[in-house]
Amino acid sequence: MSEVIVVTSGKGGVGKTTTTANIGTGLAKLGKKVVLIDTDIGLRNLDVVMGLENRIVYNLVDVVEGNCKYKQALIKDKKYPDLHLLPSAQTRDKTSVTPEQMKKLVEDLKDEFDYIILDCPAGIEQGFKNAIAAADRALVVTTPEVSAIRDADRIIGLLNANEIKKVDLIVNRIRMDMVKRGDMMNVDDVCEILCINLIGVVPDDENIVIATNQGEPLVGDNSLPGKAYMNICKRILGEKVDFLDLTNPGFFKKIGNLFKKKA
Amino acid sequence: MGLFDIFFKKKNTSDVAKDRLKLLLVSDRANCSPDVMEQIKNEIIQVIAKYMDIDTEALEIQITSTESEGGNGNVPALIANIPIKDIRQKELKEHLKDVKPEAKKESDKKDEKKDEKKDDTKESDKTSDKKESDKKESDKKESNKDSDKKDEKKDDKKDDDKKSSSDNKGKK
Repeated sequence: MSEVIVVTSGKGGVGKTTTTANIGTGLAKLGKKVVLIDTDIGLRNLDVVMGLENRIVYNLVDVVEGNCKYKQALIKDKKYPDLHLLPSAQTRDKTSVTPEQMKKLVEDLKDEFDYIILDCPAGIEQGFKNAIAAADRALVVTTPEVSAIRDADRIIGLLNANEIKKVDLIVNRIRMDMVKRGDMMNVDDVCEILCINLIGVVPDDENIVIATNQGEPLVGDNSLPGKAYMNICKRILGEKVDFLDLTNPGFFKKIGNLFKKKA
Repeated sequence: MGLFDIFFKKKNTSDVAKDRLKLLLVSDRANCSPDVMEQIKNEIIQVIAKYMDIDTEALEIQITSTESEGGNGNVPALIANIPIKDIRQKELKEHLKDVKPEAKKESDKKDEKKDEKKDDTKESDKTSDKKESDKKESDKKESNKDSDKKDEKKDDKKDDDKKSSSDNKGKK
């Protein structure tokens, strides 16, 4: 039985694409057949974050318009043969695809994959509607900032209105040093405000930028975000995993230092 | 400078953010546009103004969250801050308008109608005042009654009330 997950946030720039890339890669590492769909038509980015930008031939719009079969458009990952990407179109706009077309496409993909992960564009317009049309569950990504939380709350309301019952929260880019100083809301505050189940906390970490530069998701490595993303993947599979202790600065530094030596 | 320090030490910016968000999200979720809020406010004024003299300029309403009485977290609440100008003033005004105390006990709807009527008579009082400034109050009422002869039953009944009230005064 395959599951369709939409990664959404409302606000832009909170880490939807990075989260999609890492969770997709993580699930593939755990032996699942995964396809990532970039639904951000006109502003595609999942391909660069995955490091697959040079292999694109066909895209999402080609598939829904029937210019090619979906198998021709899927790009196989460099490392994991069970991980595929369906890139978005760069030269079209969001009205090129309808929610019905997305549903049909996802239905076709369900035969072949365990997890279908949709990277949702920012905003609540057509692109968002397309992305959530076929979703069984949603991961709402937010940062501990007022603007991102407000938008996340709106998104949660819209997901509920569209009968997506399983909605989990990922608090991204948390900075424990700022939380300690009292200058950033902590995870409990965010959960209390949004009132939904927390599935992961990812610290703000320079390794994310480094990994994106290289086009290789860091999920599963020794960095804190790498571990955090892997834990999210395990929780998606239904495992009970304790949350990482992000407050220990000694541990934090150790990991950071390890990475500096490697680089 | 000292004050500045105290202010910032006491309130973390994260707490500021949390409090602001809580307020914001309650009104976001309630989906109350400023127009709707204004309408609610006006209707609250209409209702309360029937019973007491309130400061309509300073009236404030707000959707916010408040600690629930059961102790299970915060619940949304509509909080209205309605300053009363003078709790006794309205009563005095009623007396000046010459209303029987019993009239207050009657149903709201009737009361409202009577209010309208009272205003009418008050205005006509003024005009009649100009004409016959020396006449006594009871006389004025009677002249009103004459001018309102064509009105419906209820109004007649009301005028009777008034007449009786003025009679009472006369007895006193």
